[in-house]
Amino acid sequence: MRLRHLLPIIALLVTVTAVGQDIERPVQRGIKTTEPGAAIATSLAISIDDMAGAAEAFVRALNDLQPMAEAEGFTVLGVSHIATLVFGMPQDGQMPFELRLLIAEQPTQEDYDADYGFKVMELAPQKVAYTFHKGPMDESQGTTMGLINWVMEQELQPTGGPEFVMNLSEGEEPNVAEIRLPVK
Amino acid sequence: MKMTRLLIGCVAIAALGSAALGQAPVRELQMGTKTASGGYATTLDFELPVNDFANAGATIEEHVKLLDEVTRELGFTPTGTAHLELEISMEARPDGMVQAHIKFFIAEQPTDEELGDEFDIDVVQIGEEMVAYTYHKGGLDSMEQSFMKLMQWVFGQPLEMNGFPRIVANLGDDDFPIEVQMPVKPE
Repeated sequence: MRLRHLLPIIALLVTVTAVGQDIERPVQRGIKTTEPGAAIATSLAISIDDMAGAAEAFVRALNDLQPMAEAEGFTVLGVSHIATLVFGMPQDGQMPFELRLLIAEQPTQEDYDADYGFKVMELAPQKVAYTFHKGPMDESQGTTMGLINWVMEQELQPTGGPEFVMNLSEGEEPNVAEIRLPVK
Repeated sequence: MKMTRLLIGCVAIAALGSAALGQAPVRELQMGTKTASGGYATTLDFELPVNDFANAGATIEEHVKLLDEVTRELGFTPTGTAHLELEISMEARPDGMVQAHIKFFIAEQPTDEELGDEFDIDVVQIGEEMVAYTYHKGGLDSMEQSFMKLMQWVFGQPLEMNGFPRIVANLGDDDFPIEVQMPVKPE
C-alpha cells in the first residue's frame, strides 16, 4: 500500500509526539573506512588557552582558503576537515591543526609539489572510529572525549588526533559534525 | 620602434596566457573507483519524468524539503549529505517516469524497529559499496552528460554495473559540485 498521501498526517502526528516527548536519540558511534579523495590544506596553530575562539578562526581560515583554491582551478566540494595533528596535549601549548577542503579535480604531481600558498594532498582511505557532534563546535570536547573513551574500551589504538568533518553551508557554522579518530 | 614594443607587449600577453588575464587553469575532474562509505539514512521514494529531467528540479526540491521536515520531526539530524538514486534502465516505462529515491544521511543511531518500518519514508542502513565516481559542475539540466562520461569510462574498464546510478550532494549549498556515482563490480 502506498502511503504517500498520508505523509502530512504522519508528519503532524510525529510533531505532536515530538512536542510531548522531546525525542532525544543517541548518535551513531562505530568503526569505518573513510573514502579516498583529494584536498587542499592549510595549517593553523591555536593556543590551548584560546581554544574558545578556535571555531571562528577555522571558519575564517577556510573562507580564505576557498578563493585561493579557485584561483588555481580547483573546485571545493563543500566538505571540510579540521584535523588535530597531535594526539594529546602539545608540548609548547600550541595545538597544530590542518584545515582541508575537499576538491573535485584530480591533482597532478606538479600540484602536490607546488607552492600555491596552500598544500595539495591526496586523502587515502583510513580506518577510523567515528561519531557525530550536534551543536556548536566550541562544545564538541565532551563528544570527542566520549569517542576516545569508547576507542579505549574497544581496545583500539589511536594513530592520530581527532578530525572534524563538516558540510559547509553558505558561510554558517553547521549544526552537526562528524568526529573521526584514526585507529588501528 | 613603437611597432616592436607593441609586438613585445602582445607576445608577453600571449606568453602569460590565462594567468595574466586572471583565469584559473582548466583541470580534469576526478574519475575512478572507490569504496563508498555507508551509514544510516531516511529515504523517500517518488517519480521523475525521464524525458524532461531538465525540469525535474522543482519536483526534487519539493521532496527534499518534505524529507528534511519529516526527518527532523522524527528526531533525526541530517548530516548534510544526500543521495538521489534513479532507477534508470534500458527499457523506459510507457509513462516516461522513473522511480527516484532521496536519502538523507543522519547522525543518530536508529533502532532495529525503525529499520524495519515500511512507510514511504523509511529509515535504512546503507552498506559500503564499490562505485565508479566523478563530479559534475553545473546544474541538473546538464547532469546527464556527466553520467554518460562516467558510463563510458566504466565500459572501458574491466567492470560491470551493479546497481542504479545516483548523485551525492551537499544539502547546504547548491553551488558545490555534485558527485556522480555508479555501483560497479569487477567483471
